[in-house]
Amino acid sequence: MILHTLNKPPRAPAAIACLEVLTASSEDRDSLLLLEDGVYMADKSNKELVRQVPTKIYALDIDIEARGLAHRVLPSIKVISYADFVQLVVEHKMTKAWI
Amino acid sequence: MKFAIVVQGAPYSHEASLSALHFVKAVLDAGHEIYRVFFYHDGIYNASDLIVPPQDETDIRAEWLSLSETHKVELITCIASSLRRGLLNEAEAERYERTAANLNNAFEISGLGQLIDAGLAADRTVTFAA
Amino acid sequence: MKRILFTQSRPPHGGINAQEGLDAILMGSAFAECAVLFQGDGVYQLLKHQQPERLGTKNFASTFGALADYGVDQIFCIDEDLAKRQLGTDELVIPTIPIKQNTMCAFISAFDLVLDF
Repeated sequence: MILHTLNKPPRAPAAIACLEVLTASSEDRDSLLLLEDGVYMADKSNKELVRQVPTKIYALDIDIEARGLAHRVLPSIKVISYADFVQLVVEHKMTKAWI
Repeated sequence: MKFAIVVQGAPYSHEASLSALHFVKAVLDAGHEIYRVFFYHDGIYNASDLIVPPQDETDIRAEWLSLSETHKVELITCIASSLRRGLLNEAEAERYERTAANLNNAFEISGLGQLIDAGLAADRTVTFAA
Repeated sequence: MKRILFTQSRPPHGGINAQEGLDAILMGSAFAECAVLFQGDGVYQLLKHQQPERLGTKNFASTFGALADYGVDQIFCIDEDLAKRQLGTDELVIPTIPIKQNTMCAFISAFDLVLDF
Protein backbone atom coordinates (compact mmCIF):
# COMPACT_ATOMS: atom_id res chain seq x y z
CA MET A 1 0.00 0.00 0.00
CA ILE A 2 1.48 3.18 -1.32
CA LEU A 3 1.32 6.80 -0.26
CA HIS A 4 1.61 8.73 -3.52
CA THR A 5 2.88 12.30 -3.20
CA LEU A 6 2.22 14.90 -5.88
CA ASN A 7 3.78 18.37 -5.84
CA LYS A 8 2.87 19.60 -9.33
CA PRO A 9 -0.28 21.43 -10.46
CA PRO A 10 -3.04 19.51 -12.28
CA ARG A 11 -1.92 20.08 -15.86
CA ALA A 12 1.76 19.20 -15.34
CA PRO A 13 2.89 15.90 -16.87
CA ALA A 14 3.61 14.41 -13.45
CA ALA A 15 0.07 15.21 -12.28
CA ILE A 16 -1.55 13.85 -15.42
CA ALA A 17 0.48 10.65 -15.15
CA CYS A 18 -0.26 10.30 -11.44
CA LEU A 19 -4.02 10.65 -11.91
CA GLU A 20 -4.05 8.28 -14.87
CA VAL A 21 -2.17 5.60 -12.98
CA LEU A 22 -4.21 5.98 -9.80
CA THR A 23 -7.44 5.82 -11.74
CA ALA A 24 -6.26 2.73 -13.61
CA SER A 25 -4.49 0.79 -10.90
CA SER A 26 -4.64 2.08 -7.35
CA GLU A 27 -5.40 -0.44 -4.66
CA ASP A 28 -7.76 -0.05 -1.74
CA ARG A 29 -5.24 1.10 0.77
CA ASP A 30 -3.29 3.47 -1.50
CA SER A 31 -3.56 7.19 -0.75
CA LEU A 32 -2.66 10.42 -2.53
CA LEU A 33 -1.12 13.38 -0.72
CA LEU A 34 -1.11 16.75 -2.48
CA LEU A 35 1.65 19.07 -1.36
CA GLU A 36 3.40 22.22 -2.63
CA ASP A 37 1.93 23.15 -6.04
CA GLY A 38 0.11 19.82 -6.02
CA VAL A 39 -2.54 21.33 -3.74
CA TYR A 40 -4.06 23.15 -6.72
CA MET A 41 -5.62 19.77 -7.58
CA ALA A 42 -7.79 20.26 -4.48
CA ASP A 43 -9.37 23.37 -5.98
CA LYS A 44 -13.13 23.14 -6.64
CA SER A 45 -12.51 23.68 -10.38
CA ASN A 46 -10.98 20.17 -10.51
CA LYS A 47 -14.06 18.37 -9.22
CA GLU A 48 -14.41 16.11 -12.26
CA LEU A 49 -10.70 15.22 -12.35
CA VAL A 50 -10.68 14.36 -8.66
CA ARG A 51 -13.95 12.41 -8.80
CA GLN A 52 -12.31 9.75 -10.99
CA VAL A 53 -9.54 8.99 -8.50
CA PRO A 54 -10.52 6.05 -6.32
CA THR A 55 -8.05 6.68 -3.49
CA LYS A 56 -8.39 8.88 -0.44
CA ILE A 57 -6.88 12.26 -1.22
CA TYR A 58 -5.21 14.55 1.29
CA ALA A 59 -3.81 18.08 0.95
CA LEU A 60 -1.25 19.78 3.19
CA ASP A 61 -2.72 22.64 5.20
CA ILE A 62 0.41 24.82 5.07
CA ASP A 63 0.41 24.71 1.27
CA ILE A 64 -3.36 25.32 0.97
CA GLU A 65 -3.02 28.31 3.30
CA ALA A 66 -0.01 29.74 1.49
CA ARG A 67 -1.89 29.72 -1.80
CA GLY A 68 -5.16 31.19 -0.49
CA LEU A 69 -7.14 28.07 -1.39
CA ALA A 70 -8.75 27.26 1.96
CA HIS A 71 -12.24 28.41 0.96
CA ARG A 72 -12.04 26.61 -2.42
CA VAL A 73 -11.01 23.08 -1.35
CA LEU A 74 -13.24 20.25 -2.55
CA PRO A 75 -15.14 18.65 0.36
CA SER A 76 -13.92 15.19 -0.70
CA ILE A 77 -10.31 16.17 0.03
CA LYS A 78 -9.05 16.09 3.59
CA VAL A 79 -6.76 18.97 4.58
CA ILE A 80 -4.08 17.70 6.96
CA SER A 81 -1.08 18.87 8.95
CA TYR A 82 2.55 17.78 8.70
CA ALA A 83 1.98 15.67 11.81
CA ASP A 84 -0.75 13.84 9.88
CA PHE A 85 1.61 13.54 6.88
CA VAL A 86 4.12 11.75 9.11
CA GLN A 87 1.39 9.42 10.33
CA LEU A 88 0.35 8.67 6.72
CA VAL A 89 3.92 7.73 5.86
CA VAL A 90 4.04 5.43 8.88
CA GLU A 91 0.78 3.74 7.87
CA HIS A 92 1.74 3.08 4.24
CA LYS A 93 4.35 0.51 3.24
CA MET A 94 6.13 2.98 0.97
CA THR A 95 5.95 6.55 -0.27
CA LYS A 96 6.23 7.30 -3.99
CA ALA A 97 7.00 10.80 -5.26
CA TRP A 98 5.51 11.64 -8.67
CA ILE A 99 8.17 13.45 -10.68
CA MET B 1 10.38 4.37 13.11
CA LYS B 2 13.53 5.43 11.29
CA PHE B 3 13.10 7.82 8.36
CA ALA B 4 15.35 8.44 5.38
CA ILE B 5 14.71 11.75 3.63
CA VAL B 6 15.85 12.61 0.10
CA VAL B 7 15.94 16.29 -0.92
CA GLN B 8 16.21 16.95 -4.64
CA GLY B 9 15.48 20.69 -4.85
CA ALA B 10 17.66 23.76 -4.32
CA PRO B 11 16.75 26.11 -1.44
CA TYR B 12 14.46 29.00 -2.45
CA SER B 13 14.39 27.95 -6.12
CA HIS B 14 11.98 25.22 -5.18
CA GLU B 15 9.76 24.42 -2.22
CA ALA B 16 11.33 20.97 -1.72
CA SER B 17 13.79 22.17 0.95
CA LEU B 18 11.09 23.89 3.00
CA SER B 19 8.79 20.88 2.77
CA ALA B 20 11.63 18.61 3.86
CA LEU B 21 12.39 20.88 6.83
CA HIS B 22 8.74 20.89 7.93
CA PHE B 23 8.58 17.12 7.54
CA VAL B 24 11.81 16.43 9.43
CA LYS B 25 10.60 18.56 12.34
CA ALA B 26 7.25 16.77 12.36
CA VAL B 27 9.02 13.39 12.36
CA LEU B 28 11.10 14.41 15.38
CA ASP B 29 8.10 15.93 17.18
CA ALA B 30 6.27 12.62 16.76
CA GLY B 31 9.12 10.85 18.52
CA HIS B 32 10.53 9.08 15.45
CA GLU B 33 14.13 9.10 14.31
CA ILE B 34 15.72 10.68 11.24
CA TYR B 35 18.26 8.13 10.01
CA ARG B 36 19.71 10.46 7.38
CA VAL B 37 18.81 13.38 5.11
CA PHE B 38 20.43 12.83 1.71
CA PHE B 39 20.72 15.72 -0.72
CA TYR B 40 20.80 14.86 -4.42
CA HIS B 41 20.47 16.68 -7.76
CA ASP B 42 20.03 20.40 -7.01
CA GLY B 43 19.29 19.52 -3.39
CA ILE B 44 23.02 19.76 -2.72
CA TYR B 45 22.76 23.55 -2.84
CA ASN B 46 21.21 23.35 0.64
CA ALA B 47 24.73 22.58 1.86
CA SER B 48 26.30 25.82 0.70
CA ASP B 49 27.74 27.86 3.54
CA LEU B 50 27.43 30.98 1.42
CA ILE B 51 23.63 31.23 1.49
CA VAL B 52 22.54 34.75 2.54
CA PRO B 53 18.77 35.14 2.48
CA PRO B 54 17.06 38.52 2.96
CA GLN B 55 16.38 39.21 6.63
CA ASP B 56 12.63 38.85 6.27
CA GLU B 57 12.84 35.39 4.64
CA THR B 58 13.26 31.94 6.14
CA ASP B 59 16.94 31.23 6.73
CA ILE B 60 17.15 27.72 5.28
CA ARG B 61 20.87 27.49 6.03
CA ALA B 62 20.21 28.25 9.70
CA GLU B 63 17.32 25.75 9.78
CA TRP B 64 19.52 22.86 8.65
CA LEU B 65 22.30 23.98 11.04
CA SER B 66 19.86 23.99 13.91
CA LEU B 67 18.54 20.49 13.11
CA SER B 68 22.08 19.20 12.88
CA GLU B 69 23.20 20.82 16.15
CA THR B 70 20.09 20.34 18.27
CA HIS B 71 18.87 16.97 17.05
CA LYS B 72 22.07 15.52 15.58
CA VAL B 73 20.33 15.03 12.22
CA GLU B 74 22.81 13.62 9.70
CA LEU B 75 23.00 15.71 6.51
CA ILE B 76 24.80 14.15 3.56
CA THR B 77 25.28 15.51 0.05
CA CYS B 78 26.25 13.35 -2.91
CA ILE B 79 29.84 14.00 -3.97
CA ALA B 80 29.24 13.71 -7.73
CA SER B 81 26.20 16.03 -7.62
CA SER B 82 28.11 18.43 -5.38
CA LEU B 83 31.28 18.68 -7.46
CA ARG B 84 29.33 19.11 -10.68
CA ARG B 85 27.45 22.06 -9.14
CA GLY B 86 30.44 23.69 -7.44
CA LEU B 87 29.93 22.64 -3.84
CA LEU B 88 33.25 21.62 -2.33
CA ASN B 89 34.72 20.83 1.05
CA GLU B 90 38.37 21.69 1.84
CA ALA B 91 39.72 18.38 0.58
CA GLU B 92 37.93 18.59 -2.76
CA ALA B 93 38.83 22.27 -3.22
CA GLU B 94 42.47 21.34 -2.76
CA ARG B 95 42.25 18.24 -4.94
CA TYR B 96 40.73 20.13 -7.84
CA GLU B 97 42.68 23.35 -7.25
CA ARG B 98 39.67 25.56 -6.73
CA THR B 99 40.01 28.90 -4.97
CA ALA B 100 37.66 28.14 -2.10
CA ALA B 101 35.66 25.56 -0.22
CA ASN B 102 32.01 26.38 0.46
CA LEU B 103 30.52 23.44 2.30
CA ASN B 104 28.49 24.21 5.42
CA ASN B 105 30.16 22.10 8.11
CA ALA B 106 26.86 20.75 9.33
CA PHE B 107 26.86 18.72 6.12
CA GLU B 108 29.13 15.97 4.91
CA ILE B 109 29.98 15.20 1.29
CA SER B 110 29.82 11.48 0.63
CA GLY B 111 28.95 8.85 -1.94
CA LEU B 112 25.66 7.61 -3.35
CA GLY B 113 26.08 4.52 -1.23
CA GLN B 114 24.81 6.65 1.68
CA LEU B 115 21.52 7.15 -0.16
CA ILE B 116 21.07 3.45 -0.80
CA ASP B 117 22.15 2.56 2.74
CA ALA B 118 19.63 5.04 4.15
CA GLY B 119 16.83 3.66 2.01
CA LEU B 120 17.58 0.12 3.10
CA ALA B 121 18.23 0.85 6.79
CA ALA B 122 15.26 3.14 7.38
CA ASP B 123 11.70 1.96 7.88
CA ARG B 124 10.36 4.71 5.62
CA THR B 125 11.93 6.81 2.84
CA VAL B 126 10.37 10.07 1.65
CA THR B 127 11.58 12.02 -1.39
CA PHE B 128 11.08 15.77 -1.77
CA ALA B 129 11.52 16.33 -5.50
CA ALA B 130 11.87 19.55 -7.47
CA MET C 1 17.71 -9.49 0.09
CA LYS C 2 15.66 -6.30 -0.17
CA ARG C 3 14.31 -5.26 -3.54
CA ILE C 4 14.56 -1.65 -4.67
CA LEU C 5 12.53 -0.16 -7.52
CA PHE C 6 14.04 2.89 -9.18
CA THR C 7 11.67 5.01 -11.24
CA GLN C 8 13.00 7.24 -13.99
CA SER C 9 10.48 9.84 -15.16
CA ARG C 10 12.52 12.46 -16.99
CA PRO C 11 13.70 12.58 -20.60
CA PRO C 12 17.48 12.73 -21.13
CA HIS C 13 19.73 15.72 -21.89
CA GLY C 14 17.33 18.51 -20.91
CA GLY C 15 18.77 18.25 -17.40
CA ILE C 16 21.26 16.11 -15.50
CA ASN C 17 18.69 14.38 -13.28
CA ALA C 18 18.09 11.45 -15.63
CA GLN C 19 21.81 10.69 -15.73
CA GLU C 20 22.15 11.08 -11.96
CA GLY C 21 19.22 8.69 -11.59
CA LEU C 22 21.20 6.08 -13.50
CA ASP C 23 24.18 6.65 -11.15
CA ALA C 24 21.90 5.84 -8.23
CA ILE C 25 20.72 2.64 -9.94
CA LEU C 26 24.29 1.47 -10.51
CA MET C 27 25.14 2.16 -6.84
CA GLY C 28 21.98 0.42 -5.72
CA SER C 29 22.99 -2.75 -7.56
CA ALA C 30 25.91 -3.15 -5.16
CA PHE C 31 23.58 -3.28 -2.16
CA ALA C 32 20.35 -4.92 -3.18
CA GLU C 33 18.30 -6.52 -5.91
CA CYS C 34 17.25 -3.64 -8.18
CA ALA C 35 14.67 -3.11 -10.87
CA VAL C 36 14.02 -0.01 -12.96
CA LEU C 37 10.74 1.40 -14.23
CA PHE C 38 11.02 3.98 -16.98
CA GLN C 39 7.75 5.89 -16.80
CA GLY C 40 6.27 8.75 -18.80
CA ASP C 41 8.91 10.69 -20.72
CA GLY C 42 11.52 8.61 -18.89
CA VAL C 43 11.22 6.04 -21.70
CA TYR C 44 13.05 8.49 -23.97
CA GLN C 45 16.22 7.75 -21.98
CA LEU C 46 16.20 4.36 -23.68
CA LEU C 47 15.76 5.53 -27.26
CA LYS C 48 18.35 4.18 -29.69
CA HIS C 49 20.58 6.41 -31.82
CA GLN C 50 21.06 9.21 -29.31
CA GLN C 51 24.00 11.38 -30.37
CA PRO C 52 24.62 14.04 -27.72
CA GLU C 53 28.28 14.61 -28.63
CA ARG C 54 27.79 17.90 -30.45
CA LEU C 55 25.36 19.08 -27.77
CA GLY C 56 27.90 18.40 -25.05
CA THR C 57 25.96 16.16 -22.69
CA LYS C 58 27.00 12.64 -21.81
CA ASN C 59 25.80 9.71 -23.87
CA PHE C 60 24.73 7.90 -20.72
CA ALA C 61 22.28 5.74 -22.69
CA SER C 62 25.31 3.75 -23.77
CA THR C 63 25.67 2.69 -20.11
CA PHE C 64 22.27 1.00 -20.06
CA GLY C 65 23.78 -1.96 -21.86
CA ALA C 66 26.00 -2.51 -18.79
CA LEU C 67 23.07 -2.71 -16.37
CA ALA C 68 22.85 -6.46 -16.86
CA ASP C 69 26.54 -6.76 -15.88
CA TYR C 70 25.60 -5.02 -12.62
CA GLY C 71 22.88 -7.58 -12.05
CA VAL C 72 20.09 -5.18 -13.01
CA ASP C 73 18.12 -7.06 -15.62
CA GLN C 74 14.58 -6.25 -14.58
CA ILE C 75 13.86 -3.21 -16.73
CA PHE C 76 10.25 -2.15 -17.14
CA CYS C 77 8.29 0.45 -19.01
CA ILE C 78 4.58 1.09 -19.34
CA ASP C 79 2.69 -0.16 -22.37
CA GLU C 80 0.49 2.92 -22.56
CA ASP C 81 3.51 5.28 -22.33
CA LEU C 82 5.10 3.56 -25.33
CA ALA C 83 1.84 3.64 -27.28
CA LYS C 84 1.29 7.36 -26.64
CA ARG C 85 4.76 8.06 -27.91
CA GLN C 86 4.40 5.62 -30.83
CA LEU C 87 7.43 3.69 -29.66
CA GLY C 88 8.10 -0.01 -30.01
CA THR C 89 10.37 -1.92 -27.62
CA ASP C 90 12.58 -2.65 -30.63
CA GLU C 91 13.45 1.06 -30.71
CA LEU C 92 14.95 0.92 -27.22
CA VAL C 93 18.60 0.23 -26.47
CA ILE C 94 17.97 -2.63 -24.05
CA PRO C 95 15.27 -5.27 -23.63
CA THR C 96 12.41 -3.95 -21.52
CA ILE C 97 9.33 -5.59 -20.14
CA PRO C 98 6.21 -3.50 -20.83
CA ILE C 99 3.64 -3.60 -18.07
CA LYS C 100 0.06 -2.42 -18.27
CA GLN C 101 -0.83 0.83 -16.54
CA ASN C 102 -3.60 -0.93 -14.61
CA THR C 103 -1.02 -3.14 -12.87
CA MET C 104 1.33 -0.33 -11.89
CA CYS C 105 0.39 0.19 -8.26
CA ALA C 106 0.43 -3.54 -7.50
CA PHE C 107 3.76 -3.75 -9.33
CA ILE C 108 5.33 -0.97 -7.25
CA SER C 109 4.02 -2.20 -3.91
CA ALA C 110 5.69 -5.59 -4.41
CA PHE C 111 9.06 -3.91 -3.78
CA ASP C 112 10.56 -3.01 -0.39
CA LEU C 113 11.65 0.48 -1.41
CA VAL C 114 10.95 2.86 -4.28
CA LEU C 115 13.40 5.64 -5.19
CA ASP C 116 12.07 8.21 -7.65
CA PHE C 117 14.17 10.22 -10.10
